[in-house]
Amino acid sequence: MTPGEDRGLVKSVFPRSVRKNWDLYLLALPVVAYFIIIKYLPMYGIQIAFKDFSVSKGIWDSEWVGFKHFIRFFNNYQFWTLIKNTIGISLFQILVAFPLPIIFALMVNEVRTKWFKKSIQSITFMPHFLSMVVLVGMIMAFLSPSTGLINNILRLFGQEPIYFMTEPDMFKSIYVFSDIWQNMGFSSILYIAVLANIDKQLYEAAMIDGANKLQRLIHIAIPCLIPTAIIMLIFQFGSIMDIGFEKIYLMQNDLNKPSSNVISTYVYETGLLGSQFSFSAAVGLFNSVINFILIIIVNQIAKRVSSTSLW
Amino acid sequence: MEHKIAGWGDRIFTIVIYTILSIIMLVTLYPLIYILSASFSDPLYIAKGEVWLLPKDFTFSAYQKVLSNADILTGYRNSLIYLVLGTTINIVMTTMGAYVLSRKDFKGRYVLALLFTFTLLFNGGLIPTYLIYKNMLGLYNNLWVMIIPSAISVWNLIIMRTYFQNSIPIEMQEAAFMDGCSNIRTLTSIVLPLSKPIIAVMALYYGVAHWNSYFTALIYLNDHWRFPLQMVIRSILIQEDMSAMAGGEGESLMQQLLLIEGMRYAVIVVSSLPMLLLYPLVQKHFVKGVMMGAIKG
Amino acid sequence: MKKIHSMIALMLVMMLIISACGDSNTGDSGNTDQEKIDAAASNVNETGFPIVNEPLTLSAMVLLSPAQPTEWNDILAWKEYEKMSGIQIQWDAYTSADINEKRNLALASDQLPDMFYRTKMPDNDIDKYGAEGSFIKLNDLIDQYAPNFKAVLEKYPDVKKGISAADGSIYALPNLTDSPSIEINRKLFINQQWLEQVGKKSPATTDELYEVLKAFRDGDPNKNGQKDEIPMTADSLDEAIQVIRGAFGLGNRGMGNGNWDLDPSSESLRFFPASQEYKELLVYLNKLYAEQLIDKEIFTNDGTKVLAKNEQNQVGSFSFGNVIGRANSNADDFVGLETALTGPNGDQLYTSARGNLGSRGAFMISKTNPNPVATMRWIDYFYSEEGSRMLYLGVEGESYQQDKDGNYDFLPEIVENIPEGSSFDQVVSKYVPYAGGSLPTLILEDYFKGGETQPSAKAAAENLKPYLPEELWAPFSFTAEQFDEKLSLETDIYGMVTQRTAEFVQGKASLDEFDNYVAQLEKMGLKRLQEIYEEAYSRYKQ
Repeated sequence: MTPGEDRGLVKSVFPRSVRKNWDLYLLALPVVAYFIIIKYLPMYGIQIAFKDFSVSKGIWDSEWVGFKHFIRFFNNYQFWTLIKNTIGISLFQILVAFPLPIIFALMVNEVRTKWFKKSIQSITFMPHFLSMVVLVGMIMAFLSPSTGLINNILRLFGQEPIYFMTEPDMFKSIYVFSDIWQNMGFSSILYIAVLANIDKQLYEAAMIDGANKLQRLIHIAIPCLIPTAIIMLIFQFGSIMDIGFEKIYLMQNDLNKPSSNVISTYVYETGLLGSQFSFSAAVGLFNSVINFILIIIVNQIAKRVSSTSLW
Repeated sequence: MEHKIAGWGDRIFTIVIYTILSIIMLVTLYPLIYILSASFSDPLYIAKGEVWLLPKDFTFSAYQKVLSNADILTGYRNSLIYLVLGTTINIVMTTMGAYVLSRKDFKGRYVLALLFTFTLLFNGGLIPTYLIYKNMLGLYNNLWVMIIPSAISVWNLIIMRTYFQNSIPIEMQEAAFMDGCSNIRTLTSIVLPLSKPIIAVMALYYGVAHWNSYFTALIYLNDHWRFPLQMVIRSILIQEDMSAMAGGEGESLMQQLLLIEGMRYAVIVVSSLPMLLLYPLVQKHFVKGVMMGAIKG
Repeated sequence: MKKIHSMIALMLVMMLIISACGDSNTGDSGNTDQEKIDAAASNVNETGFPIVNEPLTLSAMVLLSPAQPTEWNDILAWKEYEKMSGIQIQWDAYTSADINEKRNLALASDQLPDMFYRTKMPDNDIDKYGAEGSFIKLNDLIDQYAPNFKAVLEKYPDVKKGISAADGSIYALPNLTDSPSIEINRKLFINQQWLEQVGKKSPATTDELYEVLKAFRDGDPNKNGQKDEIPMTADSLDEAIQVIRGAFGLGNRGMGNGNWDLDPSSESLRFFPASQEYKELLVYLNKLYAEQLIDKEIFTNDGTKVLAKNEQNQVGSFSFGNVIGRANSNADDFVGLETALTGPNGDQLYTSARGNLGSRGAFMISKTNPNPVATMRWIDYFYSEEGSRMLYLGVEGESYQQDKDGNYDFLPEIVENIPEGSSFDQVVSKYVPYAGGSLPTLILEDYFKGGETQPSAKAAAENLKPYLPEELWAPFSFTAEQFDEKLSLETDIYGMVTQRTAEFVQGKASLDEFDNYVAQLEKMGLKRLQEIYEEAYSRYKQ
């Protein structure tokens, strides 16, 4: 076979675009292999959500039971509590924790003193690097009714101490505000960067027109941030059913459970800790499906609004 | 006259902003200082809640204990290995995937993107994954299980893809193709040199994730000498299950608990340090990378 | 949208293809337990030591106490026993933070160690995985190769009922005790200094307890001029309830079956958290809590916090198994109740107690174990006196000695020179593996040097002993068909009970709602759960 013939064969099997970019496929290969082997292969296990998983029979030979576990979950007395808590915490988080980094970034942007700007940025950054175990340990220490700082201050003002961690009504606030403490600085980087890139001429023109600092902030800085903010907001909505398991689990106790029990902690409790693997798989799958629908919707919106999208 | 009022208003505005930011700074800083002070204090005062701002009964003993604890030192070493090796592989894999996805002339990128995103939402569950990793892939109780399963994060892949699309003009790459460069050559000699910011972002994101993760280790590691630092810390920070010890046999728990209490804060400091040191190293590029990775230019 | 549809279709197809090449391993069904026993038996000596002629290595999962060395084989007792038996154990040791996950993972994925040695195995899982075949049925092995354990079963007849599954199979060897002080799980210890200070005597009724606690609250018994006294505390609300509930006639068959006991009027099985007496108990506790007689932090308490409060001399009374575990510098101030409390209806009962059975699932042999006979002989030794002594005191001359009066104790040079920054447990854990408790063995008071055999705890137990229920149930056993249903009912119902109990005590929910709460329990399937338990009870009675 001559080289010419060889090339002819290649030509007929692969279309032109593939031949031109053959090495792109080579680059993609390990990545695709990774996803198939590491991520897709174990997905055969999803079937246990529709089976009564038994160790002796194994995943394949366990009995099919259809939607039994899903029905049990829908009829569970906790079903609505779980949904309400999951969505409630997420929404609260978006409502409060989302705008704050933007406001913070706007403020930092107004700072002209260099050392002050630098130190406030590096300090508000630090908490982001603490691990969850450490963070929750700190929350408990500071909110302790007998020795915690917050209650000591309340006592100074003659108030009765508050038992924060056992108060279901407080749970969402503690969760969200500790998150703000930990991540506000870090989340604001993006906005600070956008603000730093605003054309200086815009400001100069506004100053000549006699606009004061506040007016400049309202009419120049905020409009510049809006597109970025919208994209970030949309994607936050996409992950509404998907709140972190670890932190909630570590913060949970019997008394705050009415407002701290969410789908992810329930899956863990019934599954790995409660050995009800099929049931827990069904709950998890239900959550995934809702997430999937949400993310498709959000992605479509994102495409319309901004042309940024996941795929 | 008008100008004067504006100047006055500006001054108030500035004062308000500096005040608010100073308060934020203090609120952020105080818990961190508390940890630092507690780590230098006698554990009894911490348990009593008497440490407020400055160390009480200043002592290095907690650090001495931490640094003479063999488990913590091995954990530290392991975590560093997982961090460096893992992050390197993360960056190589993510770069490859992101670059392919960023090329609009690449057929099938839509399929691939969806294929990848799908795994954000669906997974096989713990037990099936465990069986596949352990029995089929041999990812069990070894170095690789700490690195390979977490080789790519889909979110980071998307961020890096957006960066490539935004900040590296396709015209530049096309010029390279004209000169006869292959795609891989173009990636290494044109694209990567312009990608320092996004690599900094990736290094930080992946690095923090590696450093703080323990779940993989909890499930897949058996040997104590392979445990990463977070696993060791976990058993120190998370309260010992008292009811288990009270099953009839427990003796002078006080010393033991005070020991744990005393080490707790030093452990927090020692374990958080590498990440706090990592950030300034990459900070210069980081800000730009975050921006270009998140938004359409 | 169309594109998305085709994508999803593609994805599903991919999953199917991948699934098809997955392993469809059905496990080895050829070898029955009996065949395996016979095959390995040839290497085993039927009596005496060594157990095996050829060296044998077995793997074991074990719970590691923080006081112990991470390499379990470094413990003197194990080195010695390895020499004696010829069997080397490869310990996979996990801390209590990890053990539940590790154990469940091993069981659910069927990747078993040769044996489970103190792994906090829940009773449900023993029966469940026993029925599934993950553990070997031990009845025959006990019969043929475990003379010590067999003797124990004869000596303590309640034990056999407690460890057998519904069909009589035994899948697990238990942790056993012969010590009233350990068997009375939680005791109420009262600060005698404070009692003197406020001029009260040790309470004998719930009303007197209330008065004493009130005096603690108001009388500034720690004499610091501040009203910082905590009249009563415990690690958790449940542990506080345990020491009081007997006075309300609750738990009148001990703790063997958790929330179940006998209705005194009808002698039928009762789920007591739904009873009127439980409501009375809640009213009482709510009164204590509302008047700040119970630690406000009880819902988030833990051992360290109780200890810290005691260090500041803030505690008037606490519930725990012994004094030394929760009080350090003021340990001598605390003495147990002089008698069991009498409740409002005249009940004088103490129900935080169990029989000789400490925990059911202390030891299991896996189906993959290469030599069950040798394993059974290996573990059986620890149900003998010498074996128990080895676990609790180590090796004579090297770690313990017997004095002139025949009392055993650790060598003085070991326990008298505890280095600064170490605890007693850490020091003795170089020699013996008992720290952490619940070993598969029979604990004897003579050899056990933990807090429960301290004089204060022993005396407290002596005072309460006359008021224990005449019968202390061992855990019931359930059939394989019932597990899943029972488990899912229990998860929901018990979760509800814990949550509502906390709310009632804290006053978050008014006790007028008690009937609502009972109705809610009924709605969650309490009737069905009761049926399951009644069936088990009738089996137990036989």
